Amino acid sequence: MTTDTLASFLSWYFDRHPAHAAGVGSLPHYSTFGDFSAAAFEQRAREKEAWLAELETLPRSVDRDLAVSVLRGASAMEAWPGWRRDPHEYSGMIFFGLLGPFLHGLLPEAELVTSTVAKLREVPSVLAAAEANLDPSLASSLVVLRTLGQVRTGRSFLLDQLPLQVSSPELRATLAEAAGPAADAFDRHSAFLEDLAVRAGGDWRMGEKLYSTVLQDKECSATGRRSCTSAARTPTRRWRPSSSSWPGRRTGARR
Amino acid sequence: MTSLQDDHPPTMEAMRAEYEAETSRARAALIEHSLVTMPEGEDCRVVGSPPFQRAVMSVASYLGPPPLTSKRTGYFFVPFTPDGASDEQVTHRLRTNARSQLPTISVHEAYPGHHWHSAWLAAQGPAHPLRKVFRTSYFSEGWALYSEKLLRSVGYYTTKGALMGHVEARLFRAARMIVDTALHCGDMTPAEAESFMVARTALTPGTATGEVKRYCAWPTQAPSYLTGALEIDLIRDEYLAAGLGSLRDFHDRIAGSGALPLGLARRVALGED
Repeated sequence: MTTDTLASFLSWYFDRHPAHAAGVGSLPHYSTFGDFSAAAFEQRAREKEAWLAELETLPRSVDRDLAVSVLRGASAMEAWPGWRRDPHEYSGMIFFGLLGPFLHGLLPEAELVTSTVAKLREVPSVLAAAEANLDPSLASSLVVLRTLGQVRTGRSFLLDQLPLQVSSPELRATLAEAAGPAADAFDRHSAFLEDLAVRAGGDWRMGEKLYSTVLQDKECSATGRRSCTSAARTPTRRWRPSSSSWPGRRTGARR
Repeated sequence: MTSLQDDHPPTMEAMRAEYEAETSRARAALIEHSLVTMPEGEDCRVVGSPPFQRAVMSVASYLGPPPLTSKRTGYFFVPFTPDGASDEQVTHRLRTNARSQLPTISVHEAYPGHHWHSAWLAAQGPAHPLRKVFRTSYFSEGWALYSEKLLRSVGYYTTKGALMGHVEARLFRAARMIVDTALHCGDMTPAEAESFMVARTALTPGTATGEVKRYCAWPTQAPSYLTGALEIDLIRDEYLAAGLGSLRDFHDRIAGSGALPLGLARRVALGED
């Protein structure tokens, strides 16, 4: 029962997060980035809560506890959603989603190009979704400007570097042609981010409460020891920039 | 470290070639000392970082093989500077990849750090697919930093400079713990964080700027290295004290379990399926 439920959860997860699925080698998810509309994000969040409620009723096991930790981490982050404030959530996924399959080499070149062309066609809509979703009251200029530097490389990556991943001149031409509208979309997105960086008034700081929750519920998941949470939290309360007495030894994780 | 950093590869391509040579040496040491089981068909390619990554990543990184497949090829991305970088920026980057630092960084990224871990995990059977999909940096980066110390225990760092580079790398991860928590809890500004990293680690000002931006954008990741490494040390002590197997058995067991939250990694290491 537990195994079947966890298999169903993984299947659901892959269908809702095809870019991640493709990255770990799921070929049925190779041709799409997925749905990045606000409605899709909100629907996924509701479905994750339902999965969390279901998995929490299962007998404890390492695999069940792993899935629960992932879902609890996602639930905690709903209070500060990356898709509303961090443009890298979109651009990073696009860049690695396009290059990764060529590095991994799971399919012949022609099939890789077919799936990549399908994803290149989605790039304008993914970036348009990003522009609709990013909230200036939540985004911070520091984070936006960091991603802007990456987004500005979009055109040259798509038109000059991505086609070099295949050896056939015909396939290179196919990739370059399909990349044109995507490159234009990256140019538009650069302009959008330049403007957003000016308007952005959000804070990049996570805050202690959420920081601690993420560590406890997701990253460490009941170590039964203080090392994870105390290592991360203790220095915060004692560090002051003006202090001349801050000793590195006080960072010990076992304190 | 500042004087040791005067001795660095002269160009980005030279840096890549020297990382490649050091990665081969780390692999040979791993085999010579039988510290882990080598997965069949694994291959670590040492390449310049993708151009789109250069704007957001100032240090070395790694992309593993797709773990649900039979592929075992991974990519060690050498941290090239973005196109258009000034001579000063290039020099800063080369100085933070000095010859004294290449050994410990290669161990971290490749053998038995990220590459061995990723290839070994991919080689595990299909019984636990979730463990191949969901990862936490508190284990994966903890494992890679644990690896740096593990190789010290077999005398891998053969010069005083390399040993200094190794110790400094650990200090760097301790500084990250302080800075990340202080930044995100409102106790430090980015400018203060940059000053702290330059004063307390071997980062050059240019690399520190990129690093601090990364911490601001990616909360909780920076402390994962040392936190995870220290926890893995403790789990190893428990494993060996309980007589559950050899050191090599421990490495195979805990790294083969995935990149689990630390509490779950401990349960698997100590016997739970």
